[in-house]
Amino acid sequence: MTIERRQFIQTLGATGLLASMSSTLGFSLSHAASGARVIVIGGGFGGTICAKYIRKFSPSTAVTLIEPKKNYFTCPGSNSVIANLRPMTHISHNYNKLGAEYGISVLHDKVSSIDSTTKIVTLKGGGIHNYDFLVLSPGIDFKSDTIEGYNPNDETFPHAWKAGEQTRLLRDQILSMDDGGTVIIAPPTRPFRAPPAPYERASLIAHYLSENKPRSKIIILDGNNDFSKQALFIQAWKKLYPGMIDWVGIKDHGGFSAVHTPYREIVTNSGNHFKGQVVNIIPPQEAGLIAIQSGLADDSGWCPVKPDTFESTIQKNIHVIGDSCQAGDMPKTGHAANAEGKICAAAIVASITGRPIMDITYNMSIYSLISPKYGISMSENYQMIDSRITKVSSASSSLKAKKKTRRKEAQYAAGWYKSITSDMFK
Amino acid sequence: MMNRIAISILPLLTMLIWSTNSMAQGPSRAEFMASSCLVCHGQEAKGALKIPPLNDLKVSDIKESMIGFKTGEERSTIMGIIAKDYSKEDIILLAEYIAALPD
Ligand SMILES: Cc1cc2nc3c(=O)[nH]c(=O)nc-3n(C[C@H](O)[C@H](O)[C@H](O)COP(=O)(O)OP(=O)(O)OC[C@H]3O[C@@H](n4cnc5c(N)ncnc54)[C@H](O)[C@@H]3O)c2cc1C
Ligand code: HEC
Repeated sequence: MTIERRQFIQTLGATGLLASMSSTLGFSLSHAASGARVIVIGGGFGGTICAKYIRKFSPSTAVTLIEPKKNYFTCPGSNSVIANLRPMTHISHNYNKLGAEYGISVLHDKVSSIDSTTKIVTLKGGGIHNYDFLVLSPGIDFKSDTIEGYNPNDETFPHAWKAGEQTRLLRDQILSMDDGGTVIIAPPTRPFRAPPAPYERASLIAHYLSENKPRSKIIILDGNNDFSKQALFIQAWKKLYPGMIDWVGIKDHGGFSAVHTPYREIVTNSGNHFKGQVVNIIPPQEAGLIAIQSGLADDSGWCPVKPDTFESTIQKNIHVIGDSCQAGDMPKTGHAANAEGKICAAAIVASITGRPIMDITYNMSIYSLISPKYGISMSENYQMIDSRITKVSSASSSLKAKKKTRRKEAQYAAGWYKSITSDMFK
Repeated sequence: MMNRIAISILPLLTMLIWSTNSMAQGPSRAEFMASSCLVCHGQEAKGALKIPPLNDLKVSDIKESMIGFKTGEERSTIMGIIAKDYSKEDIILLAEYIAALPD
């Protein structure tokens, strides 16, 4: 800051004028003097990126990232942990560099409430923080009471749809299962986090079972009648795990009428009883609890946002990114949350500087492993059309690809993981 | 009275905000677009495992590859779709920005 400017601020500050004038302009004192204050809630795929890119795009903007966990376990890669191909440490990351190298102030605490009128965030630990712009990337939470007899917090049936302790629980159940046992995987009706991930999970568990417990079986009781990259998965299952994976769509089982945890049993509306030694129910989902409690979601359970800035259409100066938001055609994936984090960061910086928002094409790609040496991908491009994030092109790996290409894509999947987690944490 | 002062100081205040923000310009279109490539090609496009680095390529290499991917002349597993919806102008911006990243 130049001397003149500092003096100017001091003069104005002394006369109390800056405060009154700036409030007419919607700027707080510190906002004009030292840059805006941004608070980001949630240090996952969306939140880390938004925080870091605001600092990159606008070094004078103060950014606080609030995340309860000191170690963040990524969901991407967690299916490899469940199949005992990778240790838990492979998917563990910390926030040290975000503070030390990017000057983000990282608070390991949980946001308990948001006051959008006074622009204040209150933390569980008692802290109170003011913001000019607030970003939420709280991921997902599970709807309660959707299946009779089932509670997502019951560790008998770990969902492992948030990574960490849940991942470890499911892995340990798979490892201690008998040869000849059955694993049930039950994905919910869409929309849910990571559309191809239940099928990647089935594939990698099948890989483990075929090497270690070859008489075992996997049954997928799907809440849908089709699924992401279906033809590619089915082709690969036939080739790599013949007869091991049965997939049952909802029109054949009719949905679940009850879950009997002690018997490890799911009863379907079609009257069938499915028993599994390991039962992995992936519960129906909605926006992260803090977004719901703050009134940012609509009846769908997800948060409506403006497609070019990710600002909530319900509350001003609050942006929602990642799985919690409704992002037009973009699915709920880590790669999408990364793109949304950058778009939101650029939009907030544009708003601070009074510059126009840039309209670009963006991409979301998702790799899935069918075995450690067999990868497939799906990739989509989006543009803003009629004020909606619209898919303009998409493609998946070829059904005709050779073994060598599948192997390459498995290696690219590992490269993607390394790069996206560096983008977040390094 | 208050209003008149506010109005007369307004241009000054605007200047203040602008000059504060000279440190806070925001990304160029090229930087903004290229940030999406780093999700696979790594920080500063240095590559990651088998995903190739881009920072050591020349502007013309990146441009040719991107146009090749877009038209299908250059074979790929995933770049064919990623390059598809970029205009020629945006490809040039991307190529110039990425080639200038430190090696
Ligand atoms: C098994 C599995 C595999 C997957 N594989 C892939 C893949 O290969 N590729 C891909 O792109 N995506 C994948 N995904 C999806 C990906 O994990 C999510 O889409 C992504 O994590 C969404 O990012 P987010 O920022 O919205 O939420 P998250 O990454 O979940 O981050 C949310 C964070 O917010 C914090 N938080 C919540 N509430 C509060 C609060 N009140 N105060 C402070 N902090 C709070 C949480 O602690 C959490 O750390 C996979 C998901 C699963 C389950
Ligand atoms: C989803 C991951 C992914 C993203 C995102 C991505 N790339 Fe790639 N890129 C690859 C892979 C994988 C290859 C190897 C070719 C192939 O199989 O597609 C590659 C190859 C390339 C090459 C050829 C390099 C060489 O040495 O021949 C260029 C150039 C390139 N990418 C540019 C870009 C640009 C520019 C962007 C951003 C607009 C981008 N890529 C985004 C995965 C990605």
